[in-house]
Amino acid sequence: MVAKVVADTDGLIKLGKSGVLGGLLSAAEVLVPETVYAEAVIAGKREMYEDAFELEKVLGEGGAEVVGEKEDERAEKILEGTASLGAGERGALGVLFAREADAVLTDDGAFLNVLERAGIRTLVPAAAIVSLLEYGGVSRTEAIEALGKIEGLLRQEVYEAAIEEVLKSKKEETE
Amino acid sequence: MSEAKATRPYPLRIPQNLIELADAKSRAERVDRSTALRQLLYAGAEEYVLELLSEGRISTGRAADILDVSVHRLHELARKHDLKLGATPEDYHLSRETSRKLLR
Repeated sequence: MVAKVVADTDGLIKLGKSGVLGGLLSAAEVLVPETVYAEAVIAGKREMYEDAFELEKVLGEGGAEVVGEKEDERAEKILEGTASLGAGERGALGVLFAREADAVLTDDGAFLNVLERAGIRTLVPAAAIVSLLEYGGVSRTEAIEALGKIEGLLRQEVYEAAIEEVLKSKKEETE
Repeated sequence: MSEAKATRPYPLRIPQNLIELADAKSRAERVDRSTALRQLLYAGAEEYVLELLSEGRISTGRAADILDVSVHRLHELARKHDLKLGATPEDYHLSRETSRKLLR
């Protein structure tokens, strides 16, 4: 069964910038809440960010589904009294429950805390890149390049852990 | 980021030195004093919001909303301030476990 992943704005922009979002779209069903699409693509295009134009193209070609948001009691309960999240993250949580998705693609510290406390599975871009390499969705060179493209947006320890795994995987194959 | 944020009047005593700073900015940038003061207020707000963001106290979406900028712009600001945001190594390892199960 193909995994169902809901993207938030931060995760979507970072994986898009890395250049391997297409790989995730081939490996999983990617759901993009309308609010997230508005923040990542529409607002980005309005401000002439090249990444936003590329994101629109990759999402369209890869068959990502832009999903309307509905209120969900389970999401509301988790979000009760939480003022730290924005509309995109809230929308992603609602879609997660409404569509019974498996995980949320995000790299946002505050959102990750809320999700992990609620026992919801998460997919951070650096881990997605390394796993796509294992899955066969990207080559080692592509994985290294992808991590390099978003290095400035990741914590250094996370970048190094991901690169180490990619290189280790290369070494194992050589041996 | 959507339509312009609503504004409302607020009574505030401003130290004379900041008024003088706003006037200097106003002359240099050909804007009125109120605009110069608002720009200075935004500069302070930007720094504080980025601090909250880097501490994980607010999300990227919330930070972008407060500053009335796009998430793309927020990423740029974070890079400009040399702030490394995002998942911690613990989040990364948890996520690797998840992705190994999901992407196979």
